[in-house]
Amino acid sequence: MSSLFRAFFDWLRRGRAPAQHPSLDDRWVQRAIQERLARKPASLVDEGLAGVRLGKDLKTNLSTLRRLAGDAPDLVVRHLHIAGGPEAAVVFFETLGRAELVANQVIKPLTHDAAQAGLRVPSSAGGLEAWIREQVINSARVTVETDLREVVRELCHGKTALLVQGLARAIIVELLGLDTRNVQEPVGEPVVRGPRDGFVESLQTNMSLIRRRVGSPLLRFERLLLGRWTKTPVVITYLRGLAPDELIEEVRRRITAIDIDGIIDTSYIEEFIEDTPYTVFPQVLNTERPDVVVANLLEGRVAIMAEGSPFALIVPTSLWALMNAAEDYYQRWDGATLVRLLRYALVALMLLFPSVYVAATTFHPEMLPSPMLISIAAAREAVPFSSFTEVLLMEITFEALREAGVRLPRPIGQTIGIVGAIVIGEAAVSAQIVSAPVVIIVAFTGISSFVVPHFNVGVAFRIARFFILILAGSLGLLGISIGLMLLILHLAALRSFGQPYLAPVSPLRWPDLQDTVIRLPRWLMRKRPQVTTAWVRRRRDFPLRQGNKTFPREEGTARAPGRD
Amino acid sequence: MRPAETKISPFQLAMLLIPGIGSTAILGLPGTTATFARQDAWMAPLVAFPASALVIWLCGRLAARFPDETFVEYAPKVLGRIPGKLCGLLLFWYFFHLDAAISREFADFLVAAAHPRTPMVLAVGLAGFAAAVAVRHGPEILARLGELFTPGAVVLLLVIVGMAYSSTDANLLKPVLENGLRPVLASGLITQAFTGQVILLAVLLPSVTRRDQGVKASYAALGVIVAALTLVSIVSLSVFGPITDKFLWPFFKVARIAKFGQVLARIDPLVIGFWVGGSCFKLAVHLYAAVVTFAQVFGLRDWRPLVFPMSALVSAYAAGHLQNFVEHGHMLAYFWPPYTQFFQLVLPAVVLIVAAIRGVGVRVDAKR
Repeated sequence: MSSLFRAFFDWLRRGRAPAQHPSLDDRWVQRAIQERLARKPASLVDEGLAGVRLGKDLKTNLSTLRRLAGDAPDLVVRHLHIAGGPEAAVVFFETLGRAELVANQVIKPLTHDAAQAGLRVPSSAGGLEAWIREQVINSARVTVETDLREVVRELCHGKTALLVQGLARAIIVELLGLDTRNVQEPVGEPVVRGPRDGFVESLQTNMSLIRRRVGSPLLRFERLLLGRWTKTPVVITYLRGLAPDELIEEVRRRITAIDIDGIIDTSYIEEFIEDTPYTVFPQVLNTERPDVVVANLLEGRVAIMAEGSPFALIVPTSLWALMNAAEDYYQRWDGATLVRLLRYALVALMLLFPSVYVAATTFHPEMLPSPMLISIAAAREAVPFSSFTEVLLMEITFEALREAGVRLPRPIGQTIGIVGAIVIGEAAVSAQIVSAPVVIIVAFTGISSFVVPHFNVGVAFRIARFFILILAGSLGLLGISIGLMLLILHLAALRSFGQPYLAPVSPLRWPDLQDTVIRLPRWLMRKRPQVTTAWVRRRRDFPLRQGNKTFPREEGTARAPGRD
Repeated sequence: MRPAETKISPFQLAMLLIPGIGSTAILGLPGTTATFARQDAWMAPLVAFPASALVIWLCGRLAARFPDETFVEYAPKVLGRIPGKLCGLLLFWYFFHLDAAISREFADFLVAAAHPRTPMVLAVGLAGFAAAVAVRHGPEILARLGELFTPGAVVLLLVIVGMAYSSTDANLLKPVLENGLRPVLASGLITQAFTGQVILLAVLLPSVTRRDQGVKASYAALGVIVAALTLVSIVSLSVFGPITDKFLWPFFKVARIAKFGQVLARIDPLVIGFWVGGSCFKLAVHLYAAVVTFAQVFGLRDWRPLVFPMSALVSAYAAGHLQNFVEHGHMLAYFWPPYTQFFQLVLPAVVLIVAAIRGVGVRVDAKR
């Protein structure tokens, strides 16, 4: 018997167009779904329900929906009679919608208002549906679905379904009223001057924050669902006419290729769509700020957002963009330019200061001026370690303190700072475990590493710093030079959606230098920067990456332990 | 197989050539040329300029006849299969030998100036590794590296010159042409061995997006190199005068003594850093040329697998083919100049003349 079911489902899945779509009225279909639910529930997640239509019988439809949800305690099924006439039922997850909204906007109009207004209930099924949609329901967004899979999907996304006896369709009413965090100032990217709203975990709110800032109908949102189990709504947004078509196409291509169990945050997407996965440098800009997203859309880039994540991704990006803070654009250009120069100088210092100290004290003492050499030698006299070991120890200690400070609850975090500063810094020097210059250097580089506005870029540079430090400890100045060259080479070879990572400095594009290490005054920024996707256009060999090797396949461990 | 799979712009070509030729010349050259021309050594680059411009002209004409082909590809069409391939092999040998010489020069300087106790093999091998990594990324990435490196190097050069200004004495450049023109011409030939490295164009031109613009950019790059060499020679000579030729790297010495009041002094580590970067870059550019010519001579589909083995060979040859840097200096002064002229001038000239006589390739006057 089961082989018969299997044959039937193979037939279903192959989509060989049957004369009539299989519907729930068909008892074979009902039993096949039950069979699937009992034996291979995982397969229902994606393909199992494809093509199955709702039946005309209200009871069957409801029982199937109930069964699919496993008699969920939060699945509300409210039976009613439309204006005292036809039998119907309203179905929704009370955890996703608001019961009072459903009551006011769906149930009340159908039962009470319709009867009181004395509206005539149409007798035909089609007329009834149109009548409900157009005259009775109060909500603005009403659609009609015939496909069981779509109905289930909409229900799981918080919509309300109205099923009517004798009607093989469901009327889907959107009454979204989920509790979300209020729009607040983003914690990670604060500004002194500039907009203070930040994204939240609700995609709809985030889209609205963008739409409000762009008055053009050419603002596009493309919605798709990602994640086999989570079916997370993901939105690609861009300005039609500003973003190059190839770029949009490439973003679509890379995102639709993602096959993963679930998307919890946009960072999941980021890892799939990066051009080079084997690098410490992020090739996608992430931001919590709608103003940053809009500014980037206006420069022809594409943003990606996902339900449940307050971070939008922006592609393509460059190292220069990742080194900019939103603040740079809201302060006067001269101050912003100086701050940027300071930022680059500090990053260079952070990369090189410890390494140069190690190289100079270990290999090239002749390079230091004599007074400095003597004072460093005096400080190092009683220290038992080589300067490389010293610096490495202190750098690792600093990283540990930083990590502990982030991880700990805020009140204790401050304690860590005090303990770190006094115990590690002061005590280590007076115990002559490390020399005082090393503490100064490590503290300085520590501070410098936090001037990078984007946390993940700061992490990348900190990792690179250790790489150069090791080279400096083993090869001195030669090691630093070679390490720096390899680092710059690596950066020059990186791409973000086909755009060179160091563009517009290398390859050079004069007009675009207006907004890199410097920022020109706004009235001098006449031209939009060029968003290049040349490489994408020429070579479509970006390796599409697939996720979740552990997904239970057809013949896998489909039977879940428990009551399923 | 096409090295032109990724194209570079004319500007990038210039940024590739300037450090790809100038970086080793700037430190070593003034000392060597001063051996012959004494206080007139600053004229040597100016003498070499027309000869090197001729090399560019030859490459440009050949590239116009055979658009999108490298020297190795069109030589057989002009001279016949066997002699043509032989010419290609000779060009490969030139790049290989030059690469080894660069590597050696780099290691000599490094061991003498910064790492006296580092074994030669390590210095040579590290530079070779870094260069090979760069070459693996292809000419486009090399060009981008050049774009980042060149402006910094030029600024550093000017800073050193500015800081050394207080130590200069223009009287040390007199008397002009004391011994006539001959010593100047001799040192000009030595300089030509460096500036004539623009023969790189025989391999690089097909990778440039617009050929005629590329040739113009090459002239400009040559101009920059010659100007820089002249400036460096003038500064070195006017600081050290008659003892300039006693230094192996006079300009490095200049950087050592250069200072700006009490504020800025001892910038020689920076010079060493840039020198390491520049040498690796030059090494990479020539390694690329060597690898591509080799692959094309033997008709290989891809040159990338050759990069690391070739780099290892170059390093081994560099570490082993000379006893010490006295021998190296001697080679650069007496053997190297006439030797390289065969590859830089004679080889392309012969191919161009034969092509013109036989009428092979696109007609030059028929401008596209």
